[in-house]
Amino acid sequence: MNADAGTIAMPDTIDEALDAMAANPDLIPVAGATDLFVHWPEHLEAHERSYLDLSHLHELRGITFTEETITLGAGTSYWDVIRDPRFRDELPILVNAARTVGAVQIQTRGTWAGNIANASPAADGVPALMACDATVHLASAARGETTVPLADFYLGYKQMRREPDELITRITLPRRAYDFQYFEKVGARNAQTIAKVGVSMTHAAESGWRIAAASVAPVTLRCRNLEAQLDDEGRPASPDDFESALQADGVAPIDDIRSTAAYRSKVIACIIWHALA
Amino acid sequence: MADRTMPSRSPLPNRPMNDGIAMSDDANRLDGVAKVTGSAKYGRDVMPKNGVFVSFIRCPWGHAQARSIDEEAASAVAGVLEVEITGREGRYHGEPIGHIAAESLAALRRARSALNIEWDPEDADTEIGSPEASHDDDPDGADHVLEAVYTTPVQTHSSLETHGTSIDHMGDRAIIYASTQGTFSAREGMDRVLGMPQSRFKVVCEFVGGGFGSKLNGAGKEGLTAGRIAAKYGRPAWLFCDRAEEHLDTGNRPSSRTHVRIGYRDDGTIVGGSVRTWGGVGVAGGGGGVVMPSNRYDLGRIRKQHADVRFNGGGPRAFRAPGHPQGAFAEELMIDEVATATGRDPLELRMKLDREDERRSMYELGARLIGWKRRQPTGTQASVLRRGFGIGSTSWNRFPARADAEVVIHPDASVEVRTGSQDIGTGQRTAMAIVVARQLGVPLDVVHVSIGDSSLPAGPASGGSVTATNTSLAMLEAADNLKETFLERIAAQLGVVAGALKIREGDIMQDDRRMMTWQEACAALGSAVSGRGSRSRRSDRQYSGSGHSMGVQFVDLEVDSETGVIHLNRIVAIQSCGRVICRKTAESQIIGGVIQGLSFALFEDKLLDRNTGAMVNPNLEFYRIAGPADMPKIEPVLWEGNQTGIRPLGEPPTIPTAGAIACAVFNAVGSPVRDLPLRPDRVLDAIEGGRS
Repeated sequence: MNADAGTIAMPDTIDEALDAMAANPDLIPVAGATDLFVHWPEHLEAHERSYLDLSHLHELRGITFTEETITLGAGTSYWDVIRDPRFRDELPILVNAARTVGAVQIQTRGTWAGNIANASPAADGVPALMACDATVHLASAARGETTVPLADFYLGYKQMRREPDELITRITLPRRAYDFQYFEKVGARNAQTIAKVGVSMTHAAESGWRIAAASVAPVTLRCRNLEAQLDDEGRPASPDDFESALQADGVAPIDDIRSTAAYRSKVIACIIWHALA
Repeated sequence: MADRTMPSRSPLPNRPMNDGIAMSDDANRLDGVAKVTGSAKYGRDVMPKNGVFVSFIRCPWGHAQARSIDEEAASAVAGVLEVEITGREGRYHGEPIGHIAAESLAALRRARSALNIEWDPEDADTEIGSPEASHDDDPDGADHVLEAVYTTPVQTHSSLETHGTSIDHMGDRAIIYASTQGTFSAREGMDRVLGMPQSRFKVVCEFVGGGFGSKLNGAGKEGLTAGRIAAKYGRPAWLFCDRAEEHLDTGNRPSSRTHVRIGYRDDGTIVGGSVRTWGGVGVAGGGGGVVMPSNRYDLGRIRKQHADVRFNGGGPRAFRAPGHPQGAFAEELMIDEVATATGRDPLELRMKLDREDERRSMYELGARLIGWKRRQPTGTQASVLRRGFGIGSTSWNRFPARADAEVVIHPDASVEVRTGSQDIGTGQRTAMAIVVARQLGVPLDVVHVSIGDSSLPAGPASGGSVTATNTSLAMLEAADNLKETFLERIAAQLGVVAGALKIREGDIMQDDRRMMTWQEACAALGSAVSGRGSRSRRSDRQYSGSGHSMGVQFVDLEVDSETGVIHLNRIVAIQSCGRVICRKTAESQIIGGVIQGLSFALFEDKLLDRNTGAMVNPNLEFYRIAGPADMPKIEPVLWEGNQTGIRPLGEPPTIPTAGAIACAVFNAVGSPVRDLPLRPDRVLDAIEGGRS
């Protein structure tokens, strides 16, 4: 057992946090802890691990809008976005996604960066960010800062381009004049539910279509083939016409406790098609 | 600051139709503030000092034998008092094979892990399966035959307060803080395990966090095990289930399969046939009955057969109207299938088939309130969002039970209402106070209720919707007896004839003249005066105690034909319950029954893994219960007819909801979904023409 097992490190600065992670790569960074605590009563092994508490790091807080970029500090919660009128005006897709996460208590604790690092294929925040071409900024004591486009961040189920000593410090989004934004999550209930299927879509003249899908693959998927099809051909006659593009994009859902593969394959195409109507 | 005063009456459109029948329109739940602020103490909250914590050791497989158990290692964990293995076979996920007692919950957790049990899993049956129905001849006189199979899943009670007992053992006496639906029946067996006569201990359950039938089993294994440990160590003991254990081993509404083969004529008349039902009872010996047909409708001559099916799962317990919601789901959807096949309106067909004239009047009112005229014929909509309307009906008999009551007037002008029976969340405490205040003629705020204590006058266990119906009769008699004694004593003091005095709003009146205030009269008593009453044939006659309840529910919903997701718009629930005691808690009972019914219809499903036999969703994350955002506008209507007597209310409102929703979904999408829950994938399958 690790000597630090069951401990919580509480850094005051990002540098301290990075030093702690360099010294102990087993440290698990935690901000809102909303994913951790869901399984806490059952995952007894989680009680023996060591955590890095980021919740009091003021350097990670804050949202800035510049002429070309929007920056979310890694400590930005869903609630921070919900209550910020700039998002309501410019990126309602993020507000809509944030409002479907758990309940208000979760929205005030949970962070966008935590949603990215938790790497659930059923995430709500990740597809919305992906449809806005988000970039993930990572920092480590050894190598300084690197960036990875969110659409390329995931390698497989719960696998990502984040080294054990790296911390997500912020998320950036390009500012665009979107003429279309759409977020849809199909869950069993109207609130407090995890997606059976989720879709986020944007369109701007300069960037074309961006489509990200949740709960239909081991990772949140950016659907580049489908984007190209829409850019080139527009809305087809039937949702069935999305089938080959979605397959090429890697849509390969499974049967699980929340839904069936057949249901997910059908509904993902349907909701995209109807969103374009 | 905004006005925070709640309106005393909610502005429902149906209100004018049932004004004036409630004993109290405005009274709030007396313990409402205590409950929402957390000052109400439930059994689970009682952790006596120096207590021993106890938990069961449970089988994690559908069926398995424990090959090795490291009892020594678990016993050696600091703080562990004892580890006892009582068996090696687990026949379902969650079956206890022993227990651990320790000084803390943390020690219990460490000891469970140190047991390091190696299991040899065996094959487990996880479901009711598809038993074949024997083929019957077609019923005589039928133009057509409908053959269909309807299924419902296992629903767990999911009480907010889990099952368990906390025992304050004080050497030669004890107080049992039980989470129970039966203050008096929870004593059963406790004398034996405690080694104490019943005169030396009492059961206290002032507040109970739900039970819905699952807390009717006497002291229960939780109580008896805690009792044994308390007696053995001569110390308090605490044993409460966690959420997973609550799903696994504290009963459920059994799964059901209903195979109907019925004949009907071109005009929709049903001419009989056969109904075969099966109930999935886990390892239990019975309890899987399905109430189908309900006898509310004239369905001709029905041959009914039922069999319970055993599998590797926890057994059922009574669950709010046991057997009824499962049966009503099949019956209501079957009637709508016949209506659609014969081109009849389901409302019109029910008016024809229903055996009760009073319910026909309820259908008329319900149809008006829900806007039945807007209903499109089944299967005619092609839009993305498809509207659906459905109907269900309900009935409940009144069961007489023993109940005693005592009412005391104290010299300080307070009135104490005493009944040992419990309030499982229905508002019994509030109802009893209102009954006594009305009958005595005093303001509600002088009345205090002592409840949930086996040293108080005996009352029934709360099963079968019997508590308020029976205890209120005892209470009425006690209040009348008390009033007589009280007025005799006051009359003697005033030097008038007892019969000349009355109590009005607390004042002692002779004709229209106030002789004394309530405070003056009580002070003049010098000592407390009490009256007792019982539920008996005599009190039944005196207070019009008998009678059954009935009701109808109407559902308005939309189905998203892209996703198969159902959005409930409104549910109108018309319900008779005789004389309404407390309007708010009565309406709350109806709304709660509807919520439990819609949750059964749309979400709840205890899932056992085919491979391991283990429950895959023993939590409230994946065992889904309707949340506030899923609830439509629910409009309770307390029916004015049949106002006499105090009639059962707890169970009937949960019976028709699932059936009515299934009918509305059928109306919207054109094909019936015959399996609960009405999951989006099943709805999409139905839309695509297949049956779910």
